Amino acid sequence: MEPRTPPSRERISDKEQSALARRFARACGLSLLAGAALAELFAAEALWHDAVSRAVFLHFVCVAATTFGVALALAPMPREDALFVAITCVALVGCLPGTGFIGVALVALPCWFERGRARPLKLIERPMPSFSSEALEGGGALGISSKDPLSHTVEVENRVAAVKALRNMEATRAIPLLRRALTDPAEDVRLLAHAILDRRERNVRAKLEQSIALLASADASPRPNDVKRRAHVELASHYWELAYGGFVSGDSARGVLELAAEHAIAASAHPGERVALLIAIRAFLRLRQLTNAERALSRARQSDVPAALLAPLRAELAFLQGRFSEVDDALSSLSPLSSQKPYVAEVTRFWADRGSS
Amino acid sequence: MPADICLLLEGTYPYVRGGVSSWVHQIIRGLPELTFALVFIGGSRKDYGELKYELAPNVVHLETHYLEDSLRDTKPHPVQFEGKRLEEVRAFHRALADYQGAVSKPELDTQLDTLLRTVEQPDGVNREHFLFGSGSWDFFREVYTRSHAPAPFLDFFWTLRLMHGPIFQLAKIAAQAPEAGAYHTISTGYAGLLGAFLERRRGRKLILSEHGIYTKERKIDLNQADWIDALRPRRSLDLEDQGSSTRRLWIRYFEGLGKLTYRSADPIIALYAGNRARQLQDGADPARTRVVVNGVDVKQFEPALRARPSEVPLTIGLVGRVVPIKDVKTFIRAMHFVIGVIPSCEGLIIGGADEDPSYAEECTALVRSLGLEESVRFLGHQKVIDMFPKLGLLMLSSISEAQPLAVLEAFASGVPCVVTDVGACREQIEGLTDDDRALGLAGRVVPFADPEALGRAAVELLEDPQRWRDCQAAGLSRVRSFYTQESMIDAYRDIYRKARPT
Repeated sequence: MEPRTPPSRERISDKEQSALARRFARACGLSLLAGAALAELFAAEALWHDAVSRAVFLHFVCVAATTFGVALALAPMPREDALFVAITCVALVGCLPGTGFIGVALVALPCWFERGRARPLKLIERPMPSFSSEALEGGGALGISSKDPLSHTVEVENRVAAVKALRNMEATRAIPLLRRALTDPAEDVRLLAHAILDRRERNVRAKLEQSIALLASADASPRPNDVKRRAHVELASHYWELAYGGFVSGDSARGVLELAAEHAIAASAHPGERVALLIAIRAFLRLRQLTNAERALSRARQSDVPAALLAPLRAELAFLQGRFSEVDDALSSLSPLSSQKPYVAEVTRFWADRGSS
Repeated sequence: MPADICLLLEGTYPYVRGGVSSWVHQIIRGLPELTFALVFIGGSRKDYGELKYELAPNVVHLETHYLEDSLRDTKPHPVQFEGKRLEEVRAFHRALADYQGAVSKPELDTQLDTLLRTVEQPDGVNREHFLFGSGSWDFFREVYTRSHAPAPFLDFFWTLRLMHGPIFQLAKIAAQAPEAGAYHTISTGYAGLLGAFLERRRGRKLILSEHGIYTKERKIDLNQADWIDALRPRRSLDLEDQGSSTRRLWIRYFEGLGKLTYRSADPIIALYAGNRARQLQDGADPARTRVVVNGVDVKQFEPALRARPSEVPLTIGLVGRVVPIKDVKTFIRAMHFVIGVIPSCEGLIIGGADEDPSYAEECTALVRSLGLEESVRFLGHQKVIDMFPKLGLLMLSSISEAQPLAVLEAFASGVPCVVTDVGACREQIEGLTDDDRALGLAGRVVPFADPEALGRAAVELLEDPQRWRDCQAAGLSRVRSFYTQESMIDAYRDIYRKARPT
């Protein structure tokens, strides 16, 4: 087992700074909303005194202040949501003088209070979700939502259609769901999931054979280095999919992961190769070879692999090494889109709450 | 002289080895006082070779038909043919599409009678009329416009032709089929449709015995079929699966055939309660359904029981064809687990590998990739009586089963079983009624597609001789008490007696 390193003092102050920044933004937002309210009142007063141009100017000030105020008050939020919020504010406040602002304020202020409120974290009562990819395979981390197309409450025909849709989906998303469908009470669903998984395995193995042949013929090709790099990347990817897909188990899984890591490291020796490093890190994490994972992660950072791609891997490594205070910081580098995914959002929220409590 | 019973066999006995074929063979041999005529229906000639069973002396007739012939020798040429002549076909369509049971039995009988009087008759509608007639083209357009637009017309056109070809062919077969005291079909589908035609044409009872549920199996095949998805963009994640009206068309077609058979047959027999429930769900009349379990000739397996060694052999066998439904790959992976714990253990795959050569090749490659060439062997088809004394366990890794005869034969030979939780396997291992359950566990039941669970269960039994013997004893008692061939044959003797005219 890897030794646990104590949290550093620098890390704690970084966290405090970002929390302060968030509070300051929310305070500014509230101030802007108050200013917007005043501007709208003055606009109404100007209109009462027939000063139309002044009224229009003050009304526009209100619209702008409301829009920025709401955005700051509810920060942080994903870019897509921010755009939607801005358009809604402009439309409502701009087109409905007086009542538009009141409506927006009535919605925004409770959200402002809710966001600012610190929720005490009861670690004993709240289970800690695992955020490794293995957790997805069990499917139980989040429970089954009413919108879950594989929920047993959904009609069998619809569950069959949902499983069919997984046929063309990317492996990392499709395979955990297909594995879950193997335990469906309806035989039609189970058999279809089994057939899809079987076909996927067959395809991966066929591609493996091709990639092995490609590597074997690399030296004879006009550009051997390019061919070898491509072959290593493919082999790493296919071995990883075999392991991730659960198509191998026990010692075989271990062997396949080691092969995935070996080929990934071989591919990464070629300049500019970054994708393979991600596979290497994943494989080392699964093998619990944390020192190797850390080394690969460091190389990935040096190779300018985007922080958002490394974020979950950094977080998992920190967790496995017992550096729990670094997990939230690692997850904060996730892209907004990734952090909003149901499973990931749950994990991110847990660690953010833990960090702020 | 008419045979007593005419068996309608689709894709099974006597050209295919397997559980259903063995069952048919048992029935024929178990009732030597009755004569049997066999009508075999296959898809394509190239899929079936010579006879796989030696026919008993009481088989007095065998005829073979292939559905590929329904669209053979049909050089397109113009045929003048009025669409209104297809009214009988339209009526039949309505009967086939009758999902709510709104069409009463007498109405259905009338439509079938009309169809049979017309189809393939000298002055009626024949296959060429349907395939090439100008009125037929109008019929296609009418049906397409009414219910299938905007799906591709070309797919619809060829699908409808493929569907109707066999209907005309079976109507013709029904006109020429042997006379018999009663007709007994072993599935719905095309054999069931032929049975429905014969029930009307000959005025004889139709008996239906379902092992697997044909309609369910076709739905599964169609849901898995790649060629249907080639008809729409591959990247679509549309849950509505709009591109596959073809799939729905075929599913409804087989559902229609199933319902038609259920409404024509009496009795409708299932092997176990789970399948009976599925029959009821698919439209069978509860009053006509019953369960008759499989049975084995326990005396026949006594030599195998006596030949058992005193020690438990560290050999695990899978008795079954090397086909995807038997999930042989999971068996191989399970063996990998077992051999990791018990290195001297070996696995034997006892069954033909010629039905699905590509799958068999994948299994062989898997054995190689796991380094199990010395420990896991493919033996091909063998006499199970000779193999059971060598086995410590029978392992069934199937992803779908009805009531496997291999398990009952293993019990009779003193071999406990580790099975997947499909079909009637759980009740075979654990028992069904209170008396049956009191006999104890005859092995272990695990979830399907879980090689580790299979392997662990096998290791548990092989490493604990006392537990193994308890399972052996339970299996022997169970098969002798509840799954004897005598009781199954007696049940069918009675069914045939009631079905045949006095």
